[in-house]
Amino acid sequence: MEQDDITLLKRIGDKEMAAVEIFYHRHENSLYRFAFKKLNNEFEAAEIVNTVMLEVWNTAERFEGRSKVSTWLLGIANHRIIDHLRKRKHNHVAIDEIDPIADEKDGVDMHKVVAAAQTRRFINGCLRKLSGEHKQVMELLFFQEESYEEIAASMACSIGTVKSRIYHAKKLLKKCLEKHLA
Amino acid sequence: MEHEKIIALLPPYLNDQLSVVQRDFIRHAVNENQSLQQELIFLQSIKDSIKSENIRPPGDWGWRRLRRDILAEESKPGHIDPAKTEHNKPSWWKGIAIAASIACVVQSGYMIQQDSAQSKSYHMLSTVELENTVKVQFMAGVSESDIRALLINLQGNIVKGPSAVGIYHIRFEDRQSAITSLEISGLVDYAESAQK
Repeated sequence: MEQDDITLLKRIGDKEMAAVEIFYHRHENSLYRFAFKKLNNEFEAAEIVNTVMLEVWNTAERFEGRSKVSTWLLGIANHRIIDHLRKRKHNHVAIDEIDPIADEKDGVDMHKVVAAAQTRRFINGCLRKLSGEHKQVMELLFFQEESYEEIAASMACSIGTVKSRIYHAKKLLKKCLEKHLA
Repeated sequence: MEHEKIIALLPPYLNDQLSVVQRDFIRHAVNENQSLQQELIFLQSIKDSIKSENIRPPGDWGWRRLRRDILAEESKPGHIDPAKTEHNKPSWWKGIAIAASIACVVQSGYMIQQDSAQSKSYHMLSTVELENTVKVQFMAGVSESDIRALLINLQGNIVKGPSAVGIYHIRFEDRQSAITSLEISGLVDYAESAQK
């Protein structure tokens, strides 16, 4: 019978290798995608997954159940990604409350946007052009299907910042898609 | 409701996270407003694209690497297993330890009183136990926690060992399938029936 995450964490707290193996295979995909969206580097994303899972091995018993296990995990991953980028002196770490965005005018032709959005190639290309933070927030919103509150917990920011990032990500995507049919 | 608030509810609407009332409200609003329809199509396209994006996680090699790192960490000198610390021990362990000690003393006294004629039954019991027992030598560097995890997984119990050369006698419900599982676990040098 498949065990829930809370039971698995208790077993991991008791240092059961079999439990961490199940836990790893259950969560590696979402963790890897989350890290990859930010880092855009498969080796670094794999490094983050490994670091987070080692942290789970060492601290599983500290999980207090205040959030979903997946939110807790992505929160750890978010911190490790920020640490990783700081070490590299990456200048793209935005942990402030305001997103740095290009000064774009608001108006877009939604007919063109919707038409371009129907073409997978266009929308994939535009999604790839987003910054790491914008990619992450869209990933959490539409792949993980997290609520605004859960995204805020995962990304260690306010709900207002989450909404702001989603707003700007959408705006940049619309601009990008509009250009395809310009 | 303000237009921007409805826009903010469209992602949870797509993710089916709204209440029935909210959902009906949004559905009605979208039906009545072309810009909301366009926004919804746009968001659905983003969601479909993200969902179908093929990003492959490390998979088995990632797991093997993690396992190696965990084993390395566990075997570090001075490493303290939090699961074994005094703080984390359940409160009832002392009672069980005392009860086990008393049982051991009583059993020892009883056995000393047995005459040598009864040694036959003791020998027979051992033979029955041996039928389901496997001799196992684990690879060098395999940690105790790793062995424990494997035995829990295979429902095995250590009945003897490790010997001076590191051989365990482990009893399983199904000896033959246990030997197969042990051999493919990547943790043992050899596993064979203890009954010759």
